[in-house]
This record gives sequence, structure tokens and C-alpha cells, in this order.
Amino acid sequence: MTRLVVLGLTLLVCSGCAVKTAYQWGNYEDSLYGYYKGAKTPEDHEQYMSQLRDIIEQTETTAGAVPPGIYAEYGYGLFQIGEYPEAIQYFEKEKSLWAEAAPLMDRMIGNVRRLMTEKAHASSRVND
Amino acid sequence: MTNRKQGGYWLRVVSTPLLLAMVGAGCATVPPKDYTKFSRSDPHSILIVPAINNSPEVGAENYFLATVSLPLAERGFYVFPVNMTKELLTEAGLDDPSLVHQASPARLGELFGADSILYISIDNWEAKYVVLSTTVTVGFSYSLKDASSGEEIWSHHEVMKYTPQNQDTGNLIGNLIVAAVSAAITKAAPNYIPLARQANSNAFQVPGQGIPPGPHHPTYGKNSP
Repeated sequence: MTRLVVLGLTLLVCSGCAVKTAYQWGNYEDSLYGYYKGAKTPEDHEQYMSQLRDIIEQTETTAGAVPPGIYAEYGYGLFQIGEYPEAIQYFEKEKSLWAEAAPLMDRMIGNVRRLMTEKAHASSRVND
Repeated sequence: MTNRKQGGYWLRVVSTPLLLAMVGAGCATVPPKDYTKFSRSDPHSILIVPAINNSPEVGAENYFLATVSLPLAERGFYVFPVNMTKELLTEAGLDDPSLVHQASPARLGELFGADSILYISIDNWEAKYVVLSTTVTVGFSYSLKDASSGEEIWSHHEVMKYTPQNQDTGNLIGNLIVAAVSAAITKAAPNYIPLARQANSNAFQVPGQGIPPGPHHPTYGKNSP
């Protein structure tokens, strides 16, 4: 019961103002929710990516830090559409901003590089 | 002498329940949690793995996933990218969240380089229609485990209910129509997300119950949870 009252009050108080956060999240939650709710078409993917791009651009033009995981999510999205060199760039960015991400980002970068080499070999074999 | 003793006795008899009642009214009945294991583990990063959905709502585990990273990152932790995590686990053949929850925390921790892993079960995610009004309920069980020992370092259960307040139109028939319309809207497309957000924020932030601030938070290590 107390919780209900508290919730009501919180909703009332928060409806008029934005809660101050340490990071600028833009539409992060809504865009991921929308992505999961949608059919995951290439258009849905692009819309989700453009929201992540907005968060990155917004933060990079100000002094703040991009929230944890955002560079990595964007890099992974690029990887999914085959933009390997760009994906590596964003994994590098995540790693240099967040030391905690280094082991995973190193593994991702290694995997993408290996894929790139394999593809290069495959196409050179086709050319031979 | 005897009288004074008796007076003291009665004062005690009367005042003890009174004091207890006063204390009880002033604070939540839940005692503060023991943070010994959490402090010893001192996690800097949290891997959120996909939630187990025990509610009848298909897809709730995905929608819910969108609401967990923000409050934990704001609490001062490095939070691993949830969508990428989910996709990588699927690629590794762990597309069923219950498989991930059964996997060894040490193995997961090593795979991602994470200090701790957050396991969540969705217990409630439902809208119930009762006499011209709909109540939306969400309920979650959270368990944070140290990635190297697999030991649980924090756990919590949170349930939130919300019944939209009906607008008073000033007359009975008008009120009934408004109530019916508002219930129909909530029933057709219940909006769980704000409620899920509120549940997470309660679960993580309530002093003595939530997760103590992490290393990127200005109050990290400064005061007790």
C-alpha cells in the first residue's frame, strides 16, 4: 500500500521534470524496447542503430562520457551488417573508455579480424 | 522505594509497546540486508544475462531487458552491453535463458571478463481486469553472483502494482464511461515499462536493501549502503 502511494507520488513528481542522470541516455530504453517489439527487419535495425548514434553524437559533442556498453552495442550492430573495420573502431572506443570492457572487446576485435582475414582469403581464392 | 519501583515497572510496560509502535511506523519492517559478501566481492562490472520469464506474457523477458542497464550504470557500475550479450549467448547455443542461468557463473564471468552476474526471473507481468478497472502488476526476483566464486552477493524480490486513477467527470454515468475506456486501453495495450523501471529503481536504490554504489559513483565506498 505504501509502495502504491510512493509510486503515485513519484509519478506525479516525475511527470513534470526529467530525472538528472550521470550519463545522457537519449532514447536508449525505448529504442531497445521498440527493437525487441518489432519484427527485427533491416529497417528496425537501422532505426535502433540511429538512436545509438544519437546518444554517441550527443555525448561526444558535450564533455560527458558515453554510457557503459553503448559503443559496444553500436559496434556489434555494425558487425551484424558486415561493416567490420567500423565495428572494430567502436569496440576500441568502448575499451579505451571502460577498462572493465577490455577482455571482451579484445576477444571481439580478434574475432572480427579473423573473419576479415578468412573473407579476404576466400575472395582471393575466387580471384585465382 | 517500592512505589518508585512499581512506577518504573509500569512506565516500562506501557512505553515498550508504544516505542515499538513508533519505531514500526517510522520505518519499513524489512531489516537492512547483510552486505558482508558484497563488500568482499566489490564488483566493478555487472553482466546482465537474459531473464527467465515465468509470466504468461510472451516476450516479456526481452522488453524487460531494455530497462535494467540504465539504473545499474547510473549506480556506478560498468554494465556489459545487454543486447550484444544476449546475441553472443544465442550464438554460443545458449538461446534459452534457463540454460544461461544453469551455466557456471565462473565460465560466464571468464567468457565476458565480468566481476559479477545478475540473474533475474520475471514472476509477474500481467494486467487484471476487475470491475471497470485494470491493475497492472510486475514482479521480479534478482540474484547477483560473484563471477569467480559463484556465491550470491545480493538478492531481492520486488513486486509493483499500478491501477490507473480514473478521472472524475462530475457525474456517475460519465465516470463509468471514463473508467470503462481507461480499463479497455490498459487491457488492450498495458504499458509495463514505466512500472518495470520503477521496480528496478526500488530494487537497486533503496538504502539498506539495494545495491551499494559502484566505483563510478561519486559516493562509492564513502558510506554504508
